[in-house]
Amino acid sequence: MAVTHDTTADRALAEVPGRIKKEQRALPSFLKTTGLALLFPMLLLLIWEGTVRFELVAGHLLPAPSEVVGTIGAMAADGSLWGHIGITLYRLLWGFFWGTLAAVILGSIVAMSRNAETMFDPLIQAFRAIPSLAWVPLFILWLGIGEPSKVTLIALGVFFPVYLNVVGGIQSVDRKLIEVGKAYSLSQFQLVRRIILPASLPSFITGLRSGLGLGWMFVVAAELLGASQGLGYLLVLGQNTLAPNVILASIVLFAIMGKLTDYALKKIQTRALHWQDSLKT
Amino acid sequence: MSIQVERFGRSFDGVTAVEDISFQAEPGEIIGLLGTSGCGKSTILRGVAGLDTDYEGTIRISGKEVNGPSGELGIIFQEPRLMPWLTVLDNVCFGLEGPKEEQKEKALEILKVVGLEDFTGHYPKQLSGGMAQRTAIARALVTEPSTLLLDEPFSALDAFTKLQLQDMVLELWERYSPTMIIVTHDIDEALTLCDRIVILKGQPGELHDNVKVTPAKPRRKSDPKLAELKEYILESLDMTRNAQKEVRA
Repeated sequence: MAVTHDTTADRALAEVPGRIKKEQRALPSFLKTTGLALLFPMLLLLIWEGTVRFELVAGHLLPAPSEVVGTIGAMAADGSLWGHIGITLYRLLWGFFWGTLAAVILGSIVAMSRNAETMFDPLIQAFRAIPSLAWVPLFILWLGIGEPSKVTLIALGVFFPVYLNVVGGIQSVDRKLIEVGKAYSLSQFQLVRRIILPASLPSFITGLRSGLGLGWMFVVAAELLGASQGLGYLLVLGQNTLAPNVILASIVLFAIMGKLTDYALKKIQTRALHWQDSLKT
Repeated sequence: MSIQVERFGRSFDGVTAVEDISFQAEPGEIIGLLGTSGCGKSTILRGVAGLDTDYEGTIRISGKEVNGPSGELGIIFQEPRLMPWLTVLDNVCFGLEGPKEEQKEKALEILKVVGLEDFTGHYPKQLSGGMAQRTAIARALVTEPSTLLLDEPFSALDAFTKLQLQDMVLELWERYSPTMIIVTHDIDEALTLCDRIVILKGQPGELHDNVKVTPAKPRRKSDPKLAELKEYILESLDMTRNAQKEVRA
């Protein structure tokens, strides 16, 4: 270094080790939280595995975690796993699609027109009060035991949360923003496209996420009630063949799939709503 | 464009809010509607803007009666009212029509004037109150309206930002010379900006006075003539100590 002291360079030099120290501290803290979060589940799994291994519980009723993973692995190896997952996803997405479509159409009509609201909303609310599973016998009678009755049931489950959020979202659009649109003499259609739609998007996506959750619930219900393939069918199969490992494998797969689909929606939500004040950028 | 308000009145659910208000604005003039809160200043402005049509009397803009919002007006509200899902640039483009490129060019030009050229990609949540209101001003001016309506545009801002934006509005007025109506309850603001101050009073609001402010703009705050006028306005609004004592007695 030169004889004269360059103070800024000095400061920069002094800063560098500090920053490295900070990073070193940051990394273990990240590991620490992940470790802490994993500790308890891992411990549970170990205890579970242990109690089964040392025959403290009956292995034919509660298979060890390793056996559950093994079952999934075997199904993946013989290819049957993909068929089950595929058909379940197909039913879910199809039901989700129709339920959402109906909810968006009916919801926007009800939210936009007071007359439509007085006409349709009480009836829709009355239908909401019926536990959706009560429709199952009727759907099977009308639509048979095949795909249509299942998709209809799932669509029905998806419909209500999406509908409620569409109506709520549109009705709570800031009147002051609509006034801005009116001041620029936008037509009714332009008001919808340029202000009402984007402003009600957050509520709509929230509705989609809770709709998806209910969709998964109704997939299980639909497949329990008569299917020859699918994750829900595996539950029935496991029960009938006294194979708890198959039941647990199905449950684990449901957990993974549910989490994955919700994660995808959450990604879309963050992407589409990055302008929202409440979301971190 | 000239604005004529004749015998304007408005009642809400049978309760009269304002009645019998008449005043005129010549092209390029800045009119201040001044009054204490609740005397119906904003109600009049909403009528001029065409956002409210259930009033009595007539409002004419360049001789044509108003019966709904028209794209030729620019409105600046008390709050910025920006679309939170649009960037600053897109918010300014909101009222524009035509090819995207042209819109962008116009918007960028006006954003330079209001000093926000470095924030075009920001979202409203990232702006300070003053920046948001400047964006709103840019949005109202980008369509080059011949009439600009301002509804207590600076009342939600801090004192410094307020002075800054008042100067900016004067500059913009010199540049585009729109006819302006400013609703305000700030006497200093009215005295800084307006050519004529319409004073409203009471509940229901009635026309109290119509004062011409003669000194040329930009005005110095210390102008003795303005101080006199301020005293006069305060007195006529019963805001001076003596007047208030009289009212109590």
